[in-house]
Amino acid sequence: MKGSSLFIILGLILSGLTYRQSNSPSLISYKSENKKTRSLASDDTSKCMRDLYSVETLKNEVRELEENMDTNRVSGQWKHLDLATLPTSAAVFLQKFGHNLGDKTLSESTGASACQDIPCLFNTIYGTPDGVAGYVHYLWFLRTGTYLAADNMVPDQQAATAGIYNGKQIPFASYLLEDDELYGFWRLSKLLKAPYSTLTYLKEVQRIPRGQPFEGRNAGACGLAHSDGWVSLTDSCLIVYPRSDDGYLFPAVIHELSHQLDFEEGKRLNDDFYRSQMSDYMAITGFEMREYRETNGTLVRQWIRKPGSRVVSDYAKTSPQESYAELLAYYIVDGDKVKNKVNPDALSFAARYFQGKSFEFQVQADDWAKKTGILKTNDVLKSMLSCTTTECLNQSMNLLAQEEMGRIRSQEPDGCRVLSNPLIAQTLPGKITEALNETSANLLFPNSDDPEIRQKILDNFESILNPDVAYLSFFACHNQNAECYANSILSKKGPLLDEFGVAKDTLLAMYAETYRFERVRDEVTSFYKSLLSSRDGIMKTKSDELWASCKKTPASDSFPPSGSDYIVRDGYMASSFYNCLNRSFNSILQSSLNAIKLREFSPKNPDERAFIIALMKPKMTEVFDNTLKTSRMHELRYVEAFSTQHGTWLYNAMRSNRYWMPRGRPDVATIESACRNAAVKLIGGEVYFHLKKEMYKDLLEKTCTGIR
Amino acid sequence: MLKNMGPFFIFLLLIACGEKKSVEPGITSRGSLIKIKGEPLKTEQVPSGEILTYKENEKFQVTENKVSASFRDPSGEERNVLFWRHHFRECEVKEVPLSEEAIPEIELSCASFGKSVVFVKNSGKVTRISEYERK
Repeated sequence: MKGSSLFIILGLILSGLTYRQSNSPSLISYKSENKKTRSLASDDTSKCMRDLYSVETLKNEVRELEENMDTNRVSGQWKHLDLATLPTSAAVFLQKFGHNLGDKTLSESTGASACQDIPCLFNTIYGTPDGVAGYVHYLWFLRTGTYLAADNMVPDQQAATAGIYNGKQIPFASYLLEDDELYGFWRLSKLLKAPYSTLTYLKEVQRIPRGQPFEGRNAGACGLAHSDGWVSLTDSCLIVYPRSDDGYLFPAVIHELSHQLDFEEGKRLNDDFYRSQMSDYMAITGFEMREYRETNGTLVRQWIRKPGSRVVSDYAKTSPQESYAELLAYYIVDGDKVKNKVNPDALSFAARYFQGKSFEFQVQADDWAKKTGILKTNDVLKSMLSCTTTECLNQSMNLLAQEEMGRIRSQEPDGCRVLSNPLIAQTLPGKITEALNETSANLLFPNSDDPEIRQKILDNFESILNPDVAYLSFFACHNQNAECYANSILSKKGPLLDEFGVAKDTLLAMYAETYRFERVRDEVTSFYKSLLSSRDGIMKTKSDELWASCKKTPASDSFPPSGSDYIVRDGYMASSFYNCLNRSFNSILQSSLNAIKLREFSPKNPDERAFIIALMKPKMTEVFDNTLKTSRMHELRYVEAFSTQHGTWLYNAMRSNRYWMPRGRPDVATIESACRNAAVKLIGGEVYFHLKKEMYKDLLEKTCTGIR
Repeated sequence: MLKNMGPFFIFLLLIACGEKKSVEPGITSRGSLIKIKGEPLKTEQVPSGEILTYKENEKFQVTENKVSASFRDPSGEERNVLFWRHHFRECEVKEVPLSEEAIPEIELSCASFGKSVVFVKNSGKVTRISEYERK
């Protein structure tokens, strides 16, 4: 009897879970049910974003972002910190980048052992307890998923030792950002939305030590983007004038990030090459490749431009990829200039990355006004229900407009820049009031004006704004564009709003504006990246299993390498092994995904799964690359051991039995070559990751040189 | 009647394909190139000769009235540099960096085959295939 009541209770709990799961169409929906957000607006409506730049503001931003990204606890240890006690994002940061932090010439950063959070670790590196630096570095990670470096090891530096650049010993402080530069990166982290905030392959942004040019490159270069996932910047790319939110840092960093975007878009659309070298963009900018061989056989490849084609700057004339990076950087930073510099096709091309948004000052201001009218529907409704006179309603609208002006100044990264134009500053409040009045007029429902509808909307406001439809629409369209997303919202959300009758269209517009494509893309991508990072070990385990199972098949090149889910970028791999990896690549992604859970739930929605799989692919490729590197090292160690133990045996074996000797009167080179071919066959062991004759090159030379 | 002639047409087609002449760098003359490939879409002068461009971005370089090199896009498995490393496995291959761009491109060539491919170092993807006179 006791046993059966326990069974019933268990049954109820399980059915409760199933019910909750079926009500949460995706993992992020489940997460958002438990999420509370805070508004970080300032009370003082005259302040610009830069005036709010303080430890307190940054601390609040960190708290909010950490809450939004909190998924699973991460197990493990980083120095003195138990990762399971940290917010997911902090633990993931330490797992991914913890080994990079600080002065790498020291074995331990002084004072770091007292830190319990990431900003403290960075501040210890800077030597400024509770300064802004720690928060800026961490916010950069929270918003972009990448590491804004605070260490003295430049990704492609020539010296093997940290702290040496251009052959000189560099003081550690020269690698750290200065106050204005920190402000610049904070502003940029708020300015950049998807696709810049959701770059998958970019890992690190590194400062080149102060006063130093790039090693081994043109002295004039200020920034460098590498497709291996890093960006590095010299002094001239880091100039900021905080009082005017101006300076070369903004276009320069966006330029380098645009190169990363070019690689990533190219991976998706141009068979792993630059997006900018696809025919549509080349036609817009007039670039053509001239290729020929010189008389000595050297291959020459150079870019030429059709006469009359327009690009945004002189530097943009050098190649399609520089033209692409310049176009996008100036599109964001100086929308008014770019409009006059390039042709309309180039403008439309750039606009596609920002869902059609323009960064021209006047257009941005008009956009804010329009957005306010829609996003303040809730407040407009409240005013309409509480005011009985037109005067009260007007007063209320003016107050809302004033509040919105304050929000634009303090929250929009371009707010004060745009409002520095006196005409815009003068006309914007009126335009906002106009937009609010329009919303109010839309909620009057002329043919069936009924305050009950307004009350019903207010009562159901939370469910009207439930983000599930936005998430599902995003998953369905993640590989497409904002238009697909908007259509999906219309078709999915429309029927759910039928019960609000005449208010349906107004509510649909509000929903679409609240869940703009780029906002949802940002939110969803950082959530799932955080989730995947918290479960990195699963992919490694699955990859190791596959690697081991492929090794059960003897190395063979009987069939050519086939498949391109995983590509060996450098060096050799036996095709039997390569084909085995590629045959199973997708199935191990699926099985890894099956093992990834948020609390007790795993993703079931096919579109959501496809989105997560797309995020997992580069991670799995990285896991494979690392395993390949290790496996190659093992093979080379085997060569060393074999040469030491059996080198003399091989030498003697080739001389004691000359079965391999070519007939007739072969010359020395032919004899030695035949010897090498025969000797390599005598060497046992399976070789998967090197060409055997190259791997044993030294031993074969030693064995066969001088043999007659 | 026509039904029974099917194999015959296939046979004819095979013969036609079999007779298609190929362009061989170092051997084919400019005139023969045009006989085989037709009139080019575009011609342009380069320091070491003339480039004749055909559809699908196929190009031929003519130097002193002979085809000296050809360039074409890869297709299928040819896009994978590992395919070429296997293809060139008996060859003394040379790797020459072509640019210092953010995505470095490298020319992997096998002089004894008279063939080279341009590939992207970071992705292992082949972007161009070139043939030239064998050495």
